[in-house]
Amino acid sequence: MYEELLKNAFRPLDLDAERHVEFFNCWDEISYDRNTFITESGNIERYFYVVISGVQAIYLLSKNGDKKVIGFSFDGSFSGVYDSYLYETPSHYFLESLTPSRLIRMKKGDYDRLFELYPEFDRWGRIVHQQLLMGRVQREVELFTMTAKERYDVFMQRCPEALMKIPQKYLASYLNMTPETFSRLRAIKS
Amino acid sequence: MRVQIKSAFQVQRINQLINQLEEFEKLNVKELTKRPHSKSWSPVEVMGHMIIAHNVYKEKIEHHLGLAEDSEVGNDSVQASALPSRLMKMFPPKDGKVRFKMKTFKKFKPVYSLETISESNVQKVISDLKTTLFELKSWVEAYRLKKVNALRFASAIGPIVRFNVPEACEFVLCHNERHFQQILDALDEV
Repeated sequence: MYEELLKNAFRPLDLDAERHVEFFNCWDEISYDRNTFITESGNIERYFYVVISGVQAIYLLSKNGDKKVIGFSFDGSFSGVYDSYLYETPSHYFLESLTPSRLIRMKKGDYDRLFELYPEFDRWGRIVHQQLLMGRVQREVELFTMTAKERYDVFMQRCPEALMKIPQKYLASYLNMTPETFSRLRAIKS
Repeated sequence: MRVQIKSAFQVQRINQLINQLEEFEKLNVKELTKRPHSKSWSPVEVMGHMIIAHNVYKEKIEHHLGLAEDSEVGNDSVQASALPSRLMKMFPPKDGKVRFKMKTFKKFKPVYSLETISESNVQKVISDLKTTLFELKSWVEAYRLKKVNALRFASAIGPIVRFNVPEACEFVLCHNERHFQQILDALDEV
């Protein structure tokens, strides 16, 4: 089950249902309604997810409780609070389903075992961490060097269709602008 | 200024209390039953008081959650009305200090015989308090998907102060935060 989804998510690994039996067997599916906390700040993240469908936001709270969105997950992407999952420490972040969501998930013990069972996962780990790091650096550069309008334009060029369906306040927070600014930029563009 | 109640912030703060309670759970009976002064409560008495206060609101909150219709847009952030806002500002500790000390109504006073209380009874109080914290969290998770803001009921302070469910949850949470600080102070003094 989930063979195509996992093969796509774990590219460039060449996953094979016969050779990687344990890998394909360690996932189970879970569904969440809209606006459900999948992981809460203060709890330990127990799972690594791949999204079948739906949009989720990862955010932390400012001192007065405002949401600061740091990323999204959506169809086909990885999801979860990765640092809490890896280090088994309480999460600083919330992971929330913004739309009804179906995900498959893997426990930490199974994740660790993959690297022992299959040496090729080390290569996957190297590549995926490079991509994560480069993505975060790129985002930091955009936040520090671009105007709100430039950040909006760049984001809209690469924004997946799925994110167009979520409340604007989450996109505005991700782009570090007020919902009013986001709305004004959207109106100008349309 | 009126208080803006934010459901994710409430969940984060409840989780902090649950994690703190798990630390208290590791203490011995002597520490948990010792009064810092003859007229002050011991930690276990403070816990008992929090359980009583929580249960005063339980029926009303659950009744009004049952009455409320589902909300299409969600109820993530709620502005408290004037009187509840004043209480919410007074109650939580500030900079690690309990402010505005007040007299406790008789019905909120816990009755334990500290000389004879057994370890299992102390553990039961801790376990009951943990149950109330998880219950409070479940109320927050429920109201954020419901149209509850217009449904008001009399608070335990008196009929003049009326709460809706988000305000009642915030009040119970602020009350708990205040008393967790009292436990920390009591343990420090002991």
